[in-house]
Amino acid sequence: MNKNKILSGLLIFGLGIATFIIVAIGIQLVPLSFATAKANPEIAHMRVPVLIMAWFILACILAIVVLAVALFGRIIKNKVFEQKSVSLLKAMGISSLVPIPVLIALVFYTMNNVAGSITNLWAFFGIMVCMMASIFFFLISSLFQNAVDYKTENELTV
Amino acid sequence: MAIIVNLDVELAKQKMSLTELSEKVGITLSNLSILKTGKARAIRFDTLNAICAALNCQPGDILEFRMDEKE
Repeated sequence: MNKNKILSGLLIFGLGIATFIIVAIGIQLVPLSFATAKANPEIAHMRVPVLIMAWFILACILAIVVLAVALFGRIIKNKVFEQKSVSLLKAMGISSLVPIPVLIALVFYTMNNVAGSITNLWAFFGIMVCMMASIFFFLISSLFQNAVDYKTENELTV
Repeated sequence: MAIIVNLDVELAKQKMSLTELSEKVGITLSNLSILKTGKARAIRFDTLNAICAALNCQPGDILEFRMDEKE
Protein backbone atom coordinates (compact mmCIF):
# COMPACT_ATOMS: atom_id res chain seq x y z
CA MET A 1 0.00 0.00 0.00
CA ASN A 2 1.58 3.30 -1.03
CA LYS A 3 1.75 6.54 0.96
CA ASN A 4 -1.11 8.17 -0.99
CA LYS A 5 -3.46 5.29 -0.19
CA ILE A 6 -2.57 5.37 3.51
CA LEU A 7 -3.21 9.13 3.56
CA SER A 8 -6.54 8.63 1.78
CA GLY A 9 -7.51 5.95 4.31
CA LEU A 10 -6.69 8.32 7.18
CA LEU A 11 -8.69 11.09 5.51
CA ILE A 12 -11.68 8.76 5.10
CA PHE A 13 -11.42 7.96 8.81
CA GLY A 14 -11.29 11.71 9.58
CA LEU A 15 -14.27 12.38 7.33
CA GLY A 16 -16.16 9.57 9.09
CA ILE A 17 -15.57 11.37 12.39
CA ALA A 18 -16.62 14.65 10.72
CA THR A 19 -19.87 12.99 9.59
CA PHE A 20 -20.53 11.86 13.15
CA ILE A 21 -19.84 15.39 14.47
CA ILE A 22 -22.10 17.00 11.83
CA VAL A 23 -24.97 14.63 12.70
CA ALA A 24 -24.40 15.26 16.43
CA ILE A 25 -24.47 19.05 15.84
CA GLY A 26 -27.68 18.63 13.80
CA ILE A 27 -29.30 16.79 16.70
CA GLN A 28 -28.01 19.27 19.29
CA LEU A 29 -29.41 22.22 17.32
CA VAL A 30 -32.93 21.40 18.55
CA PRO A 31 -32.27 21.81 22.29
CA LEU A 32 -29.94 24.73 21.51
CA SER A 33 -32.69 26.52 19.58
CA PHE A 34 -35.13 25.97 22.46
CA ALA A 35 -32.59 27.27 24.98
CA THR A 36 -31.84 30.35 22.82
CA ALA A 37 -35.55 31.06 22.34
CA LYS A 38 -36.13 30.72 26.08
CA ALA A 39 -33.23 33.05 26.93
CA ASN A 40 -34.25 35.60 24.24
CA PRO A 41 -38.05 35.59 23.99
CA GLU A 42 -37.95 38.61 21.64
CA ILE A 43 -36.43 36.43 18.86
CA ALA A 44 -38.34 33.22 19.70
CA HIS A 45 -40.37 33.57 16.46
CA MET A 46 -37.14 33.01 14.49
CA ARG A 47 -36.40 29.63 16.09
CA VAL A 48 -38.04 27.33 13.52
CA PRO A 49 -36.98 29.13 10.29
CA VAL A 50 -33.39 29.53 11.48
CA LEU A 51 -33.31 25.91 12.65
CA ILE A 52 -34.53 24.70 9.25
CA MET A 53 -31.92 26.85 7.48
CA ALA A 54 -29.16 25.55 9.78
CA TRP A 55 -30.23 21.96 9.08
CA PHE A 56 -30.25 22.67 5.37
CA ILE A 57 -26.69 24.06 5.51
CA LEU A 58 -25.54 21.10 7.62
CA ALA A 59 -27.12 18.74 5.07
CA CYS A 60 -25.08 20.41 2.30
CA ILE A 61 -21.87 20.06 4.37
CA LEU A 62 -22.77 16.41 5.03
CA ALA A 63 -23.28 15.87 1.28
CA ILE A 64 -19.81 17.33 0.59
CA VAL A 65 -18.26 15.07 3.25
CA VAL A 66 -20.00 11.96 1.84
CA LEU A 67 -18.88 12.86 -1.70
CA ALA A 68 -15.32 13.40 -0.41
CA VAL A 69 -15.39 9.94 1.18
CA ALA A 70 -16.47 8.48 -2.19
CA LEU A 71 -13.63 10.36 -3.91
CA PHE A 72 -10.99 9.16 -1.44
CA GLY A 73 -12.41 5.64 -1.86
CA ARG A 74 -11.69 5.92 -5.57
CA ILE A 75 -8.08 6.96 -4.79
CA ILE A 76 -7.66 3.79 -2.71
CA LYS A 77 -9.14 1.67 -5.53
CA ASN A 78 -6.81 3.35 -8.09
CA LYS A 79 -9.80 4.66 -10.03
CA VAL A 80 -9.18 8.33 -9.42
CA PHE A 81 -8.68 9.59 -12.98
CA GLU A 82 -12.07 8.57 -14.31
CA GLN A 83 -15.12 10.54 -15.36
CA LYS A 84 -16.91 9.53 -12.13
CA SER A 85 -14.33 11.47 -10.06
CA VAL A 86 -14.98 14.59 -12.15
CA SER A 87 -18.73 14.15 -11.54
CA LEU A 88 -18.12 13.77 -7.80
CA LEU A 89 -16.06 16.98 -7.70
CA LYS A 90 -18.72 18.86 -9.69
CA ALA A 91 -21.36 17.56 -7.28
CA MET A 92 -19.22 18.85 -4.39
CA GLY A 93 -19.02 22.25 -6.13
CA ILE A 94 -22.80 22.35 -6.56
CA SER A 95 -23.29 21.24 -2.94
CA SER A 96 -21.10 24.18 -1.91
CA LEU A 97 -23.26 26.57 -3.93
CA VAL A 98 -26.60 25.34 -2.58
CA PRO A 99 -26.32 26.97 0.91
CA ILE A 100 -25.75 30.44 -0.62
CA PRO A 101 -29.45 31.18 -1.41
CA VAL A 102 -30.35 29.88 2.05
CA LEU A 103 -27.77 32.17 3.66
CA ILE A 104 -29.03 35.13 1.59
CA ALA A 105 -32.58 34.30 2.73
CA LEU A 106 -31.26 34.21 6.31
CA VAL A 107 -29.73 37.68 5.85
CA PHE A 108 -33.03 39.14 4.64
CA TYR A 109 -35.04 37.27 7.27
CA THR A 110 -32.78 38.58 10.05
CA MET A 111 -32.79 42.12 8.62
CA ASN A 112 -36.59 42.16 8.67
CA ASN A 113 -37.05 40.55 12.06
CA VAL A 114 -34.13 41.48 14.32
CA ALA A 115 -32.66 44.93 14.77
CA GLY A 116 -28.88 45.17 15.15
CA SER A 117 -28.18 41.45 14.84
CA ILE A 118 -24.65 40.19 14.15
CA THR A 119 -26.07 37.07 12.47
CA ASN A 120 -25.69 38.78 9.10
CA LEU A 121 -21.93 39.10 9.54
CA TRP A 122 -21.70 35.35 10.01
CA ALA A 123 -24.06 34.79 7.10
CA PHE A 124 -21.89 36.95 4.80
CA PHE A 125 -18.82 35.07 6.02
CA GLY A 126 -20.64 31.81 5.24
CA ILE A 127 -21.52 33.04 1.74
CA MET A 128 -17.86 33.89 1.09
CA VAL A 129 -16.70 30.49 2.37
CA CYS A 130 -19.28 28.67 0.23
CA MET A 131 -18.28 30.65 -2.88
CA MET A 132 -14.58 29.98 -2.31
CA ALA A 133 -15.22 26.27 -1.71
CA SER A 134 -17.36 26.08 -4.84
CA ILE A 135 -14.71 27.80 -6.98
CA PHE A 136 -12.08 25.45 -5.55
CA PHE A 137 -14.14 22.32 -6.30
CA PHE A 138 -14.98 23.45 -9.83
CA LEU A 139 -11.31 24.32 -10.47
CA ILE A 140 -10.19 20.89 -9.26
CA SER A 141 -12.93 19.20 -11.32
CA SER A 142 -11.73 21.07 -14.40
CA LEU A 143 -8.15 19.92 -13.74
CA PHE A 144 -9.39 16.35 -13.24
CA GLN A 145 -11.31 16.56 -16.53
CA ASN A 146 -8.06 17.48 -18.31
CA ALA A 147 -6.25 14.63 -16.56
CA VAL A 148 -9.00 12.16 -17.55
CA ASP A 149 -8.79 13.36 -21.17
CA TYR A 150 -5.00 12.93 -21.18
CA LYS A 151 -5.31 9.46 -19.61
CA THR A 152 -7.90 8.38 -22.19
CA GLU A 153 -5.73 9.72 -25.00
CA ASN A 154 -2.73 7.88 -23.62
CA GLU A 155 -4.65 4.63 -23.20
CA LEU A 156 -5.99 4.84 -26.75
CA THR A 157 -2.54 5.44 -28.25
CA VAL A 158 -1.41 2.12 -29.68
CA MET B 1 -13.07 9.99 -37.45
CA ALA B 2 -11.82 10.61 -40.99
CA ILE B 3 -8.90 8.18 -40.63
CA ILE B 4 -10.01 4.61 -41.27
CA VAL B 5 -7.93 1.66 -40.06
CA ASN B 6 -7.96 -1.21 -42.56
CA LEU B 7 -6.07 -3.64 -40.38
CA ASP B 8 -8.75 -6.33 -40.76
CA VAL B 9 -8.45 -6.12 -44.57
CA GLU B 10 -4.67 -6.55 -44.45
CA LEU B 11 -5.01 -9.40 -41.95
CA ALA B 12 -7.50 -11.12 -44.28
CA LYS B 13 -5.13 -10.62 -47.26
CA GLN B 14 -2.26 -12.19 -45.31
CA LYS B 15 -4.61 -14.84 -43.84
CA MET B 16 -3.34 -13.95 -40.41
CA SER B 17 -5.28 -13.75 -37.16
CA LEU B 18 -5.08 -10.87 -34.74
CA THR B 19 -3.51 -13.18 -32.14
CA GLU B 20 -0.75 -14.18 -34.59
CA LEU B 21 -0.07 -10.54 -35.41
CA SER B 22 -0.01 -9.73 -31.71
CA GLU B 23 2.64 -12.41 -31.15
CA LYS B 24 4.69 -11.30 -34.17
CA VAL B 25 4.58 -7.59 -33.41
CA GLY B 26 4.76 -7.79 -29.62
CA ILE B 27 1.71 -5.61 -29.04
CA THR B 28 -1.02 -6.75 -26.69
CA LEU B 29 -4.18 -8.20 -28.22
CA SER B 30 -6.28 -5.54 -26.49
CA ASN B 31 -4.22 -2.73 -28.06
CA LEU B 32 -4.46 -4.32 -31.50
CA SER B 33 -8.20 -4.71 -30.96
CA ILE B 34 -8.45 -0.99 -30.13
CA LEU B 35 -6.63 -0.27 -33.40
CA LYS B 36 -8.71 -2.70 -35.45
CA THR B 37 -12.04 -1.40 -34.17
CA GLY B 38 -11.07 2.19 -34.93
CA LYS B 39 -11.18 3.29 -31.29
CA ALA B 40 -7.50 4.33 -31.26
CA ARG B 41 -6.80 8.05 -31.00
CA ALA B 42 -3.18 7.78 -32.13
CA ILE B 43 -0.64 5.27 -33.41
CA ARG B 44 3.08 5.34 -32.67
CA PHE B 45 5.54 5.10 -35.57
CA ASP B 46 7.12 2.12 -33.78
CA THR B 47 3.79 0.28 -33.81
CA LEU B 48 3.10 1.17 -37.44
CA ASN B 49 6.60 0.07 -38.38
CA ALA B 50 6.18 -3.28 -36.62
CA ILE B 51 2.75 -3.93 -38.15
CA CYS B 52 3.94 -3.02 -41.66
CA ALA B 53 6.96 -5.31 -41.25
CA ALA B 54 4.80 -8.18 -40.00
CA LEU B 55 2.15 -7.78 -42.71
CA ASN B 56 4.64 -6.82 -45.43
CA CYS B 57 2.63 -3.78 -46.43
CA GLN B 58 2.80 0.02 -46.55
CA PRO B 59 1.31 2.39 -43.91
CA GLY B 60 -1.16 3.52 -46.58
CA ASP B 61 -2.52 -0.02 -46.81
CA ILE B 62 -3.46 0.08 -43.14
CA LEU B 63 -4.51 3.71 -42.79
CA GLU B 64 -6.92 5.47 -45.11
CA PHE B 65 -8.30 9.01 -45.15
CA ARG B 66 -11.97 9.45 -45.94
CA MET B 67 -13.61 12.87 -45.90
CA ASP B 68 -15.94 13.01 -42.93
CA GLU B 69 -19.39 14.36 -43.84
CA LYS B 70 -19.49 16.35 -40.58
CA GLU B 71 -16.20 18.06 -41.45
